Amino acid sequence: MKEELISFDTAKLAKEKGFDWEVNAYYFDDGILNKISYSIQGDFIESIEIELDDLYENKNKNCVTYRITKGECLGCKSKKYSYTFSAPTQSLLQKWLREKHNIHIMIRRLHHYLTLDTTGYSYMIFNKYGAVLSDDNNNETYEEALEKALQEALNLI
Amino acid sequence: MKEELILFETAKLAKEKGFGKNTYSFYLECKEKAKLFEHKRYQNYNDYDYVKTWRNSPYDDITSAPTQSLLQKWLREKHHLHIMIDFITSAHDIKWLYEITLCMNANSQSNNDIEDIHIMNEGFDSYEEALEKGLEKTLNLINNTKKGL
Repeated sequence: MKEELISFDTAKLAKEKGFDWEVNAYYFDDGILNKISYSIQGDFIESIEIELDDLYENKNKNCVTYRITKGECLGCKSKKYSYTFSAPTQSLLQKWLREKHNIHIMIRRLHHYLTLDTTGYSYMIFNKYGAVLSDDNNNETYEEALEKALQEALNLI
Repeated sequence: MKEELILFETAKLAKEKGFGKNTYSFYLECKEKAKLFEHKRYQNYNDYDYVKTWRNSPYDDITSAPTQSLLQKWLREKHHLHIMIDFITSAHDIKWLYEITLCMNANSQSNNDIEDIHIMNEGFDSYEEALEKGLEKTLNLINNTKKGL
């Protein structure tokens, strides 16, 4: 079980809308996902202590990132630098929308009124006054509902 | 701006309730204080067997520090407890609330012996505060609900 990262399409949209928070994962321009890594030597806790910030960067800056492609020689003139798109978790992008744009996404569980079985998830998008900007009831999972809501909310900016 | 990690007290409670998912962060207790660390390795820091492999002793002073949303997901998927965060606006401010519901589905164990859970608490100043309190409340419910949750 891991936290859900936003999809490549959502990441492109988030970059276009100005998402600039630091993240520890990003997509290259062909949709390949990468993690920001940090190499540490030593096995004792004292020697592996690192700053939290070392693992996070804003990968939506308009600059390219060096890319090591499997099977390519270092001297090849093939593409080695790519534009990148920050890949925040769904909840981080949700937080950015809330704090930067006053857009709140609420995910509600839907259930059968008698058996209480979960029948799906709905989302509602609110502005800061509590007015509903958009909603949808047709999602199988929490993550699916949140992803759709994020895309819709980004398009509202 | 980062994702909110759960507080140390919530992390201890989550460990007690069996949270064992991999995280990058953990709390280390030292002289009655808890210090937050981020490790290169994405591991289950609540697992003594893993902690033993890189720490001499003791092992029980390390506690996983997941993000609020990871713990929220674990509660939803493992214990079928859904936390929803909503807000109420007034002329002057916004107050946040949490709502906890039990979410069973057709593939889950029978819910005949489980009472419907619907808990709401409001009046929090931020989304994160409401979620933290909701997580704490939900973790405490695990003890009070029946086997199979």
